[in-house]
Amino acid sequence: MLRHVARRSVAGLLVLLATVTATFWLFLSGPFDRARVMCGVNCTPLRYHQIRASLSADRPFLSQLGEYLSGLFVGRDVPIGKISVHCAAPCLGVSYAQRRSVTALILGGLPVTASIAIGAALLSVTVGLWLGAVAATHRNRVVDRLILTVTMGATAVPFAVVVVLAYLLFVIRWNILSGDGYHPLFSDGSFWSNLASWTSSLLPAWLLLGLFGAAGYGRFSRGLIVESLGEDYVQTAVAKGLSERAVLRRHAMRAAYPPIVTIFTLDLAGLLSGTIFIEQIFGLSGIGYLAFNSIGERDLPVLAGTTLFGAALVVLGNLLADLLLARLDPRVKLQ
Amino acid sequence: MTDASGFGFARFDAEADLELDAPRQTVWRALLGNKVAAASGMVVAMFVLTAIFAPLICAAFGVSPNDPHTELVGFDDQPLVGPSLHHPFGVAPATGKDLFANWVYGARYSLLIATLAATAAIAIGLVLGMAAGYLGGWVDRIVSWLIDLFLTMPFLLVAAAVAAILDATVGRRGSGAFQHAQFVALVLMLAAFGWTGMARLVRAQVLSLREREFVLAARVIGCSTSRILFRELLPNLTVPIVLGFSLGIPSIVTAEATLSLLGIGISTLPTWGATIRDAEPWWRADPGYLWQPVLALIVLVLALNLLGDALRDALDPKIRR
Amino acid sequence: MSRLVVDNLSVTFRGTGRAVHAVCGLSYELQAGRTLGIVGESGCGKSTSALAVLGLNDRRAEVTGSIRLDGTEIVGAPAAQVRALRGSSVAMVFQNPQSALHPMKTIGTQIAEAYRVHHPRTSRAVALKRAAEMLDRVGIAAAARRVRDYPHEFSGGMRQRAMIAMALINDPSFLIADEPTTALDVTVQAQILDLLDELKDERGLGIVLITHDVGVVSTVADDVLVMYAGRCVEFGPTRDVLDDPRMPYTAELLASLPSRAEPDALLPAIPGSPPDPSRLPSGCAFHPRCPHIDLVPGGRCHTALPELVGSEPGRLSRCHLRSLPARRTSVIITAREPRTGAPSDEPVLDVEHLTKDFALRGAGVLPGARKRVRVVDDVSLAVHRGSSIGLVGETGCGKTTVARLIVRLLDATSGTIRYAGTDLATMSQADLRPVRKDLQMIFQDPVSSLNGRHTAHTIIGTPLRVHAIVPGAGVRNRVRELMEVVGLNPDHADRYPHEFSSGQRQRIGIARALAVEPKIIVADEPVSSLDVSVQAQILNLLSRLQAEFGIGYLFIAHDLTVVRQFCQDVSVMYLGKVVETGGRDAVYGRPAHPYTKALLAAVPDVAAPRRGERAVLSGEPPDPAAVPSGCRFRARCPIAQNVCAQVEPPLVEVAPGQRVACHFPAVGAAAR
Repeated sequence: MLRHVARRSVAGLLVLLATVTATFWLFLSGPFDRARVMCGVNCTPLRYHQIRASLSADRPFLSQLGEYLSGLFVGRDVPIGKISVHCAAPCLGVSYAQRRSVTALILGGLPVTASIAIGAALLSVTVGLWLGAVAATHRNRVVDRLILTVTMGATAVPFAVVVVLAYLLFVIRWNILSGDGYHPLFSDGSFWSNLASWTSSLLPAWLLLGLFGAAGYGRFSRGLIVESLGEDYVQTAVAKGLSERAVLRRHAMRAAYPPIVTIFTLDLAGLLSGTIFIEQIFGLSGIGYLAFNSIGERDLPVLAGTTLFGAALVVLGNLLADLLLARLDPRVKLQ
Repeated sequence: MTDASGFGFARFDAEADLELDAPRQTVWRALLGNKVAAASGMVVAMFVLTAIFAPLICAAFGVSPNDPHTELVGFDDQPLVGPSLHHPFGVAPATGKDLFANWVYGARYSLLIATLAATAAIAIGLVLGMAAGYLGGWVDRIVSWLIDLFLTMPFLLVAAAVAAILDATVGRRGSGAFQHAQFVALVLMLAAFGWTGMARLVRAQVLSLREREFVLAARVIGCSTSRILFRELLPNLTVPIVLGFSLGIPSIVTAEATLSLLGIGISTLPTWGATIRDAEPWWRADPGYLWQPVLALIVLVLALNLLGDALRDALDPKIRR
Repeated sequence: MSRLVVDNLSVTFRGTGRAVHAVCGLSYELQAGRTLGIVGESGCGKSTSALAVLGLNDRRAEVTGSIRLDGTEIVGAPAAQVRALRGSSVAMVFQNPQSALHPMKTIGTQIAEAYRVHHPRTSRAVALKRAAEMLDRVGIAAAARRVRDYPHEFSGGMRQRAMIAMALINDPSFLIADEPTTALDVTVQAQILDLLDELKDERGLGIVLITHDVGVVSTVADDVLVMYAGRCVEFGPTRDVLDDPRMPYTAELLASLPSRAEPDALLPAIPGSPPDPSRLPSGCAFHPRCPHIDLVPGGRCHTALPELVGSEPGRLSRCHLRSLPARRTSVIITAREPRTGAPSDEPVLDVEHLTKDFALRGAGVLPGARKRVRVVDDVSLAVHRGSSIGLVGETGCGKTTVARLIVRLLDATSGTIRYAGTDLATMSQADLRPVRKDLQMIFQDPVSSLNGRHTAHTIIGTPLRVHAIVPGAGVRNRVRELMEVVGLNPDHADRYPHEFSSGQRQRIGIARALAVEPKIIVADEPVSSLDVSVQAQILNLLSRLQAEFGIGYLFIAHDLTVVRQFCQDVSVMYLGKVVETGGRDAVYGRPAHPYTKALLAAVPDVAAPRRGERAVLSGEPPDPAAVPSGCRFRARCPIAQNVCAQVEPPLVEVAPGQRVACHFPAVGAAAR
């Protein structure tokens, strides 16, 4: 078991190292002049040279990469014009536009994004599983067809379009969601009132992201449960005299959990990119908000930083999923 | 699920049995017998025809997506004319460009990009998946590692960076060379992030096929590796390939629209995503401007998905029952 | 005394297509304390009828008739009432213990769950304790500890024991066992059948035993019910029915069993294959395959369904004929080239000291550090022209690996495969290609051994093209010829595999092997997934081809009766090693190795003695990764001594042509 975890961790680190290299090459070095990209339309020679210096763009690629990697572990100082911005480990670079370390920017948005993503994920999986179970047990009947139709519709509509429509209808037309922004869970005042405002500030995001995600999980788990309902061990359970409900919950759905965990990790990247749109329209200043604005600003260090942060989360998520899978399915330990 | 990378292949990963048990006639009969499938097939066919004959259709109506009609726009930038025979969907605010032509060409670009990217993604996925599954060993390890690598990279952010770099370094905005580079880069990006699902699927399928007795029989007969790969295995990969197209194309249409919506797609072409982006500020004054690309996108993607689902059910007799 | 009465039971599936009458008007009655065997081939409705007793058929099934348990009607009863009976009054054991247990729950949890459903006030701990007691009763050692194991930690036989424990934990009156031993090895099968028989006597259990294997029925059933095409065609006390069948189907089925036939004789096979339940023949469903229809006047067999009538008390049969004519005698093939004198007796293929190691997956990171398992250890055998050598053994003994090593689907770790003066074991795949013509293989599974995307023509034509045996234009004709040789209609060349029956698919596989005119054919379980009546046809075909073309077979099988009937020489493998080898008469007649003896005793033969009268081997074959020291069979051996744990016995000759690897071979003793 321990060896299994160790091996997967090493594999994850190798992937992460490759991601760092690829990201660095694509975002911050590589064949084209990144300083020119970041300098933008109102570029002055001074600004251009300051950016070049902050990227260490005059040095060879390997040396740049080395500096970036060492910054990840011990931190470094990045010159921007006359000042020097200290970037503590794990340093993901410095935003020229905001003159702040990318790590600090990301950590600032983390509570918001984590709250949105975790809430939405829980909603997606539980509602999805429930929909899947209801559909699978009513296979080819009206309820099943209804669930299939609704979830098909929800998965088919491009999420970005949904977000735009939601923004136009809820925020612009009906003005239901004021877009007050994020209310931290831990701040001054009583815990319960904070909890209430925290929940109400996030509820629209959870519902939108969570329910649209639930459609996908619903279709997926329906397939899995239909399959496991046809397994011999379900027949054994029925022959024992278990009620339909017990057969479904204790036997058929049990077998659907491992594939759902696997799909969840595969979809983790999608969940994070979903927060990019969500945060934008509901004015929640999380990591997605940061990334979205950096696209317009061409703030490549921030884009690179958020990319790496996302990649690290995906790798970590995979590792956790491996542990969870080994707990859910005793046969996994064998390999 | 909102995932843009991997392009929704995960969805049929565990659901479908990828063996083709049903003979071709049965598949057709199942498809034609399914009303939903037949209807969505017709919708898709209409979009495809629109895409192919876009120049002819525009010429017939005497409109073009690029000609501005500033004379049709008032001083407040609002269009002066509504939908008419001359301009069936009306004209855009500010520029006065014809919206019908915009819409027709939107279908063309959307389907063209999706088809090209899906073909490239499936070709890459098929080759790497077959190599990994049949050869195993270090080839398998490298392919699996590559898949992991691509799965960790957030598609949107990488696309944003590529778009920014192209924008600042290749030619002048609006020039032919720039547009060309953007188009190629977009298709490559979509393909680069779309192949992983196909490769996983094909790899798993080949892994189970290579231990089948008919493959062993071919080896005992003395068939060469290429004969086994292309004559014995490839025909058994029809289902993943068909499903790769039928479920991959709508995902890529979605991904492309998302990118244009964010302004990191092809900035100079009238794609639906770009139109939605342009129309958003005008929504209160001119909701039709927004709704026509939105509805087109939803209807097309829905029809493609329904068709793909019906195809999967028809190909997989176990699910059908 | 409890009674289970099934009266005029019919199960019909109505889908989009035509209605499928899976079971039609089945009636039987079972007293507690007796065993009823239901026998039939695939698609005859035996399993469907069994599921109906517990209301387990799926939603599409339409069940009519009556099933009464001590007067309580089950058909049409409210769901809750049927549920209360399931597992408490009537329990069930399924065919495949691999899939019938939930892979993610412990054995104990699953058995305890069965108890707690019907004893809702029992605590989990008490239920688990009962589960452990029950596991102990069905013969699981250290049961108290093993309740915490998951199914994958149990061997196949242990899993089936656990299923039986689960079925019996509520002390039901009736047990329905659907092919309970089909997925198991013979020695384990014998253990499970004995266990069921013991439990029947101990608890006064009524057992419905469903099987395709007449031998299984004969060892444990008091009465037998033969099903064909959804109907009961014959019923009576087991001995009476097997000794004196009244319905032509029963008679023909029994006659086609290899265990009843003369060695080397053509088997009196039933032509055709069991009917598809969705398109049953008119009249008597057996009439297209029946040898006696000419004896019934007026073609009534085609038009009228015979009644199930009793010829004497306790016997029922369904046939227009009152009595069957005497059986024709079987024909002995003499075309096999007689082997004369040892020195001139040159084998075509000579395998010596063949050894294969596999690296255990994921056991270590460094290649050298991986643990290796020896699955084939020093195996030697010879294949002669026009003769067959049988290689028998239980699951995991390495027999299939030997087959794959010989045809070079796997590379041997050491050893030689001598053919026509060269060593195939060390040849490169490129050099091997021309030799492959002479050395072909027939596979087990008629479904997976043919590529479903190719027509029969392409499949049989591929070897012709690869080796350019006939010019391109001649392929079509040659394929037609080959199809005729193996008994297929050449006009069906453009059909796809799924359009053929499983017997016909196996014939396509044989035609493919035959296309290159091989000298040797390695046949890996060629008949084990076929129905008994079809099995005899394929064995006959293989014999005929041998006589005609002088092919030498290496025949791999787990069924000892098939090997006795078909092969002149036999090698018995245990855990990667040959433990006994010799001529058929010697090995079957005077088995010298205790394992061979036990295997032979375990075969559920029609003529086999019942429980208590035969020695049943205990335990199951150990994991090849943990081979015992000394003699590898010693842990299960009834006559093992101290020396067996220390010294590995070499293969030595105990009689002319008979070699045995045992310290204490039984020399000159007759079987049983």
